[in-house]
Amino acid sequence: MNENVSVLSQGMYTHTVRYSGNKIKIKNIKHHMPIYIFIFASIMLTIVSFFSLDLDFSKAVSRMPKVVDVLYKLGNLNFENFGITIRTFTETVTVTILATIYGGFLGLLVGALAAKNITPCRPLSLFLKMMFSLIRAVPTPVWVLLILACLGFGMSAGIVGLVFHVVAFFGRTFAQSFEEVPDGSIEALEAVGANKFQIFFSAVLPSSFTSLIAWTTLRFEINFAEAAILGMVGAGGIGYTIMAAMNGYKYGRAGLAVVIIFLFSYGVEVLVTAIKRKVKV
Amino acid sequence: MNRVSEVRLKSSNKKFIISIFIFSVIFILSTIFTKFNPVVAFTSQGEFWRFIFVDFLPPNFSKPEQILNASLQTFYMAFGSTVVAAFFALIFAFMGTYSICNNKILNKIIRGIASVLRNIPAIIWAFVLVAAFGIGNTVGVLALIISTTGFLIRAFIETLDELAQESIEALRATGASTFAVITQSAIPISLPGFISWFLYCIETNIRASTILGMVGAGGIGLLMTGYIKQYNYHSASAVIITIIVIIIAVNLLTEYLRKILMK
Amino acid sequence: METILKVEKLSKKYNKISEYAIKNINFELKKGEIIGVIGPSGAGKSTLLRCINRLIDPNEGKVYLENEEITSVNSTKVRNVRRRIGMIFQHYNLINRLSVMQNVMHGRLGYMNTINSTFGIYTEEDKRKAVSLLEMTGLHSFMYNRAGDLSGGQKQRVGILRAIMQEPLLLLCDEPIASLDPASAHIVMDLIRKIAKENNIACLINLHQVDVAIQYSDKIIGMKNGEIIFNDEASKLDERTIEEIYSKPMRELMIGGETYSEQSQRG
Repeated sequence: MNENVSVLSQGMYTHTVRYSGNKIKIKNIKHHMPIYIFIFASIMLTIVSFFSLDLDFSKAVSRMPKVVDVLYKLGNLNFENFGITIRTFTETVTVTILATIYGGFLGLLVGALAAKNITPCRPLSLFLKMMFSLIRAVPTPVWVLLILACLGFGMSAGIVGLVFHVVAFFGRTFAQSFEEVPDGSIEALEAVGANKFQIFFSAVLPSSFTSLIAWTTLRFEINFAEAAILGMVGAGGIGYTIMAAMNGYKYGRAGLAVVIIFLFSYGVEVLVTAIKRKVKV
Repeated sequence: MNRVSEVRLKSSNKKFIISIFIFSVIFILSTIFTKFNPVVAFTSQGEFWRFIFVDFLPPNFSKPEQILNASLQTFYMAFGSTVVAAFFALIFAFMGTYSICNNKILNKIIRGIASVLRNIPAIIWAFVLVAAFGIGNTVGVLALIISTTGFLIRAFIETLDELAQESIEALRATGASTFAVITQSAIPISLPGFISWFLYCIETNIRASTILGMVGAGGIGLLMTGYIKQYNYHSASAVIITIIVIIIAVNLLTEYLRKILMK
Repeated sequence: METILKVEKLSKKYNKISEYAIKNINFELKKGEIIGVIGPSGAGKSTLLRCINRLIDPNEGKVYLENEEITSVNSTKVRNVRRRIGMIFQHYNLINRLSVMQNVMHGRLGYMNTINSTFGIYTEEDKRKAVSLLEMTGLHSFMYNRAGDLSGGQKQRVGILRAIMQEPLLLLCDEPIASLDPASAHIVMDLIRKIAKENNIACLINLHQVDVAIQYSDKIIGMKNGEIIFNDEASKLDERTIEEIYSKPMRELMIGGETYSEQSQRG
């Protein structure tokens, strides 16, 4: 790597060209070093991971036909006891809806308290943000298990268990959206003599509204996936149907439940994209 | 106020009222169906705290090697799966973008498959795979790879659509081959976006890996479920605290990496 | 001078129910000639440019480059056509994370085989040419900087150099100065004109600024609603034609920063 004076084709001289051997360099490697290191380290770590996990690939390959068999049986949709399947599905959906609604309102409250620009007390904002990370670090099924201890089995436990993560999520993301409201809007209202409540409802909330809706729809999708899973840890819902069906080798019923989950999840995704288009335009 | 603005106000008011109405109906129906009473939930929290302080704490860390081993397994599962998923997702994402692969049918097929993979939660994949492969790490890894690939295909396609279109157009205009367009414009421009999604999936998969463990896919989730089934709550709480520490650590790590790698 | 580009009855409709984006476009471009294309937004100027290098495929009509028809050429040969046509864009369309030098070198990708182009392995001769081009425009001290660090005018000049590296027969410029301040705009237009005249490269330039178009072009094409309604020497562009193109009276048009009548009153 030496910097030379180079003679170029038209007899011009330039001091800025750098060489690698006698080849002209076209870029400065230093700019890209972090990324190269990151990619290299990731690949190395992946190789280490797979070896340490002691994965039995020969067993996996030999069991492939079994996978196809299971998939085929799942595809053999069985509408037996469809009423129960629909019931548990409704359980999951209503749990999702209520968890999102309650979580949303609570999230507005804590989000407002956690936003740097509108919180009444700075340390409170920092404390709340830490709490959000802490709450989300505990997996949702664990929260649900803890709640089961006091509310017993059932949908209420699922709702409350979900709400923890939902509130923590909304708390952080709503606070982010509130903080993105331009200072000017807030200052203008302060200058007119508005109090904190008025500022919040007249300036902060309207400005961040589209952002809040976006976060809410995203969380709704996530909540549905989580609620579907909860059945497997005892809070009722379609997850339980799948688990019971598969444990009883009734793959056809399980397959049907999976299809229902997919259809709902996909339907929500399509609906949300359509709503986003309408609200943005 | 003239007629036109009056009419406009009325129609946006109407939309607002209709949405509130739909919203309330959904809320009421759900509440009736679930019989959920938030007040009751709030007042019965006494039991919750009792459970925490008597049964869960103090945590029992008497077998740290077991916990450490399980944690590493969970981490390896999450990390390895995400990298493999990112690799496949990248290839498919290029095939799913019209400006790189101008076969509209192929684009749609790929987006469709990604949608299926993504909208079925990883844990359900895990369940299906357990039925075929039995309990173990392999199931967890495969389930995570499947669901993460689906997610990343869509995420990468979005990144390409948002950031790279103009540069791709410029390089096509020079007559460059499709591979050159990919390596000389699409990848350089989208790399920060790709890495951002990758780190997001690492975080998500650490959590998911924990949960998958609960249905038998190995790692720290399996350990915790084992303790709970044995009513060994003190050890379970030790595991939970470890999980919290791991997730927060990964969180901080990805924040740090984002700062360094994003420019 | 010979004709380097001939456009015949070119038309494009984006979907079955909408209007034509461009309709029945006919014109010729000679070697070394600069044609400025003016017209309101939506008149079809961008579509026209992109139909020439097949970034967009027209529905009807033919385009001839050096007397060879390029409209019905298949996708492998399209690349050979595109490499002879350079293009510069309103938003420069550089790869911001890569170095200026790398961006300029991208102009050669159309002439390289798959392996070399995929891995960015350029010949020393090409690199030397790029360096001398950078020197000519005074950008050589930024050679290894990220393209994203440069100012708008500098970026556009890098874009022009990238196009020149293709040794093109023809340069398509889609609103090259729309995002630039007056000083940078002047430098960029001067560079385009100098390159066109010194190397006999024909230019087709889309512009919003009518005064700039008149100043730099040999001929002007005025477009409205997808059709050409004026195609003649720049000196022959009069007020009435401008009014017809933009469907607005001169006093409501900002030509050169003041209305045209104020300008002509100053004399």
